[in-house]
Amino acid sequence: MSSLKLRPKPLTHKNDPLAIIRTRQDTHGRPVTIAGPMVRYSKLPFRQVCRKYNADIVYTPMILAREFVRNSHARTADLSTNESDTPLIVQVGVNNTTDLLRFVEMVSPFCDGIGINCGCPIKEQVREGIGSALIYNPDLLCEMVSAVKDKYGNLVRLETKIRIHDNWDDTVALCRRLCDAKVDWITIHGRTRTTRSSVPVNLEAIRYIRERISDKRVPVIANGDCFSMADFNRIVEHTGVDGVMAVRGLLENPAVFAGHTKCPWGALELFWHYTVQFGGLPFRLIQHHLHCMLENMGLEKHLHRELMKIKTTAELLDWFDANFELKRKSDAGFGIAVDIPYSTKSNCSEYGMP
Amino acid sequence: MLNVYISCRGNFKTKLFRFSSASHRDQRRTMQQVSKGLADLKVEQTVTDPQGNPGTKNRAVTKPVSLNAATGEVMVKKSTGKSKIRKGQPEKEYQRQLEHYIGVEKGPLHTPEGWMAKNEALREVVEGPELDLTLKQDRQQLVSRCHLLYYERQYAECAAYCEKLLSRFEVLTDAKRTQKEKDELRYILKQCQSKLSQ
Repeated sequence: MSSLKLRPKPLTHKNDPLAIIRTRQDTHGRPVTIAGPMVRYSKLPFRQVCRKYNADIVYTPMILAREFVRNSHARTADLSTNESDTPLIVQVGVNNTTDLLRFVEMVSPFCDGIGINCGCPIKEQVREGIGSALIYNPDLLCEMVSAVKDKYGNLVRLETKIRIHDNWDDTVALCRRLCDAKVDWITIHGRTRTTRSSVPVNLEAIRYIRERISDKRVPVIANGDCFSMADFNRIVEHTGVDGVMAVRGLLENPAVFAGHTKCPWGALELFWHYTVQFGGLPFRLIQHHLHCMLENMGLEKHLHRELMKIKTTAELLDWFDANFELKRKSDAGFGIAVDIPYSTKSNCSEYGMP
Repeated sequence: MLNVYISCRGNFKTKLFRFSSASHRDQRRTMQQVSKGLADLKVEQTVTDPQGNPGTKNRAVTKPVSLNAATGEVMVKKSTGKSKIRKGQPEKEYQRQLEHYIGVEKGPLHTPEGWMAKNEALREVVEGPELDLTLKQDRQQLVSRCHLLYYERQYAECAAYCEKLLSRFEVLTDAKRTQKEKDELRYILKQCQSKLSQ
């Protein structure tokens, strides 16, 4: 086995995220669109739905390097993928260089880039020095970036997703150091570690930072409050960034980047298809995805209450078949409907539903 | 022998303690000494939020302290303010994990469309290195195949598969843990039979 070596996945113009970020404007007439990492939710079926609706680059949820390199069960639970899951960035939560280098060795053959999470505000992670704690620990963060880039160079793409500091100049200083450490691109979430998501994202801060690191020629991606293509254009116009990452907006409407102002029914059909094809998604997670999408579509309230009472995947499927016209891949018109196709024979009781 | 290192700002390392006994008491005492000695490394707190409010409880930012760069052993702060050592991973153990990852796991779980139909262990419920029914993750894969058949309206095959799974799940010793899975399988079986009889 010692002769077996893992090599990073070859990067071409089709899957190299940096090349895609740099060329999207020329090839598609718009900056790059990115589906960001969501704790628990950016699993393979949802990633594939986002890809169907124009997400150029898609992230996994944050994976803790410490667990991944030490535990096979954690590996099985945290990451599943396939050939069509590309370009894929695996986001990592990490607080030391050793774990990061080992994580990169194990993951880089199966993805197109790795992103260090420096934005997660969850206190359990911050206490461990993971997530947004890293923006207050620039020595460690830059040491980790340098270690990966020194070892792999352009064979592995490495991104950092940061939040802004209370003092924007601290963020500028951090970004300049990251650029010197040869990070490939930087994603900036326009809120501080303690800003609530209900407070609008600070686009002015993103613009301020981008302008002051523009001489480094490292692409900057803006993140925060992208719920529609109108938001996308507004963010790009205000900040001058190379692309926009949507996260919460995609959870309720994975078709944001395709210009849909509300989640189209086809997205739900695709989600069901990928969920059962790939398997392994826990019921509560499936239910939450569907809840978010249906809420965005304005589902009737009594049906929403029924949805939340369901306890298993099979019952959920029966409930969909009873109340809507849920097409399968072999059915004509699969994945293209926009409005909710309520069933005319809506009667849950025959399926044993409450 | 256990060496405790403190790494601060890159490669600068100071060897602080060296002791031969790894008893809990010694470890605790050492951690207390390390914590005490690191008072000056205790880190910045968030001063204000954008509204000008001072940093609130439990919002202090902590820096992990590297104790052994070779294994990734770090000391972190718990919510109580106490320090906790996150054990490192010796190179030998990492190589063992890597070997398992490459040789047995074959990388991350690979699930292209149609993989469940092609996976013989899953299709025939063959226990072995690929399938261990005592593991929740493996049982979930089997139930996932039921979901696929049910979704695709292959009710006859789905019913037969449910019956097969139920017979295998019944003999598992940890009945409590598998109860929910068995309940769902029984529900699917009943629904399949009902649809087939229509």
